[in-house]
Amino acid sequence: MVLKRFWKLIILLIVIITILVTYFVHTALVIASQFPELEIKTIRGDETILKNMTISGDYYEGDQYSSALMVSLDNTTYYEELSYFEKRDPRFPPNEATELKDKYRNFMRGKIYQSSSYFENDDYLAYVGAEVSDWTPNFLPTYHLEVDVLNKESNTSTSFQTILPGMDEIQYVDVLEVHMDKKELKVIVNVNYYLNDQYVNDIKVYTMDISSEKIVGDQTLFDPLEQSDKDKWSNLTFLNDLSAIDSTDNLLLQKDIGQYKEVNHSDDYEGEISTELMERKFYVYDLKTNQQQELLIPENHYDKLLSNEIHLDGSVSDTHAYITYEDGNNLVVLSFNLDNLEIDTQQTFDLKELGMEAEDYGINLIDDKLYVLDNDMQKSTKIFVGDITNGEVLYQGEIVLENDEDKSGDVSLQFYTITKNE
Amino acid sequence: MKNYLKLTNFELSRFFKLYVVLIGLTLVMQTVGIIWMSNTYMGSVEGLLLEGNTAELIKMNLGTFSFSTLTTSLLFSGPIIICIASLLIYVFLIWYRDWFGKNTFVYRLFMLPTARMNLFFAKATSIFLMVLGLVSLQLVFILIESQIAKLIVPTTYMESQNLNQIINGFDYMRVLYPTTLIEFLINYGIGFMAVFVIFTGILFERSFRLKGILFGILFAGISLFVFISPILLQVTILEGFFYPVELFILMVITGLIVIAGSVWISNYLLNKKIRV
Repeated sequence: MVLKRFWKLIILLIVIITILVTYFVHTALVIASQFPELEIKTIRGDETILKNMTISGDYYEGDQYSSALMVSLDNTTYYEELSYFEKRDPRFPPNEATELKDKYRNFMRGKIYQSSSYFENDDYLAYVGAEVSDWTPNFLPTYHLEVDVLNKESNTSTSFQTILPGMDEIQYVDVLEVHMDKKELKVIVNVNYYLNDQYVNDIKVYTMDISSEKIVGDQTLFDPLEQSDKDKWSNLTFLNDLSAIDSTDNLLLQKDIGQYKEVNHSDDYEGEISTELMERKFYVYDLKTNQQQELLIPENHYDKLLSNEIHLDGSVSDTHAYITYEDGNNLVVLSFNLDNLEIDTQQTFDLKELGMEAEDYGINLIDDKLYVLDNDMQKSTKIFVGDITNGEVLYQGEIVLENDEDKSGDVSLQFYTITKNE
Repeated sequence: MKNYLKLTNFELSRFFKLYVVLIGLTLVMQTVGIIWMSNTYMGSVEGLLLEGNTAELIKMNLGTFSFSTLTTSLLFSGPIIICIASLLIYVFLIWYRDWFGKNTFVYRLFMLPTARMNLFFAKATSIFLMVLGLVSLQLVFILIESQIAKLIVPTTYMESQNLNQIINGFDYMRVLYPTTLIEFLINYGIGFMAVFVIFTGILFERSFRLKGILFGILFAGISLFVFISPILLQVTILEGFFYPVELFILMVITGLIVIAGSVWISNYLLNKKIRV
């Protein structure tokens, strides 16, 4: 009787429930098996060296799927497999700044999750973010610095905003590093603007006094007029690790100077201007003493450093500065002693011997170790870890699909960085 | 409860013939579409084969046959648009037909020995079920249509796609068919909140006529404002203060406030202000 009377309602309900339940079960199963498990296969050495390390990159399968992913010794995490709420997290893979938000939930509200904007020690957690507060009539952003310092002991924070002194018509601002010493906060900022019609990228060190909430020091590391010279060009590169919260007192900077040359290859390319690199220098800036010194590079390395564009990398600790470059099949790591600014050790890793024959590498220097990933889009990615103090190869491995036969040939992996989980 | 079910069944029955026509139209147009497109594709393949091309070469030039050829065509999306438009219109008609139909039917409905809100919920439920019905049946239709395509196009030329890939290849379908249950609840929850708000707007108009239109629009505006107020706060004065999960919880709360407000006002209008 009831059935007969309500048959339309009942049928519709059954149809909806059956189909939607089947759909969600099917989708859950499809998504769960969409991406393969990866494993790090050891070729040589002790894999525990990769304990607490996360390797991140992208997974591609034909033109069907792609997903960012991270791999560690124990598991593989794909962004696309995260839950709805996990996907709302600000960064994938998480960085040191996003990890801070679990520990200091209230302090981290409304902040930009860029690791270089933070400083942390036992007493303080400091944040300086470059934010756009307004736009000028000629569509240039008006930047200010948002400063917030948390005193961990008293759990109170001091926050204030400040403009960038003496700067107008800025194109772009980026916070490169934040450093705190007692009550003094040092902020290293990259400021881009036009000077005499030339685009200038300036590195500035602002010193801030927390108690008075003011900028008390303003230092420009290189004369911007040098960059505004019309015949010559100069470019500054900041080599400290931007993806980590640095704890060192030193900054490592690279300055390139070149000149414009008019070339007339043929009539088709009349008046084309090419740039020629003439000089490459490296500087270490000590945040404690506010002193900047040039690294002394011997003649035999200088030419190779000058001709290396892509594989040049650097990092700095409290006692040493490291510069890596590629020389044929070799990856060379120069280690400079900061007391005398001279090379004290030099290590060479033979990439071919290590089975790394990629076009491009991901090079990461972490705690006196060199982590290198081959960056070619292949089904597997080679990895090696070297000790930069003695040149020893500590580990050699490969990231591979756990069940290779599951997937057809169009899978490719691309890994860029290794990070240490604190 | 029984009265509510009876009314729901009654509301469904009143639209059922047209509803079946909509379902039929979708199936027929999409099936014709896939048959026509598969045949056109195979026609070109056969033409090229006759010219002496190899299958590999044809696949390179013509591409494999993908289901997205259909999903991006008007023969596929046309009936979907017609269904959406019909149901949108019916959100209004489901009320107005009672007033403008024969013998002011609404008079009899209001005299029924049951709470008038049952009428409101019955109408909302039938819209809800008809939308979900079409959405679910479309999934079955996609499966049927892809089987038909497989019958016409040999596997060599067929791009193998599962349901999830078919939906992925088609942007607006991801809104209708999200991959997780929570997104499904969010999308359809917002949809049905909107239906409640429109119903209240209609009841405003039916209670105060011309002036009621203004009240209805005002109510819809306030509802929208209340619902998105956490986002407005987030982007203006609070500058990213809330974490995503908090923002989600706040919007669930404001959504429930809107629904509760809509139900409460509708109840008041139906019992005290409605004119027949």
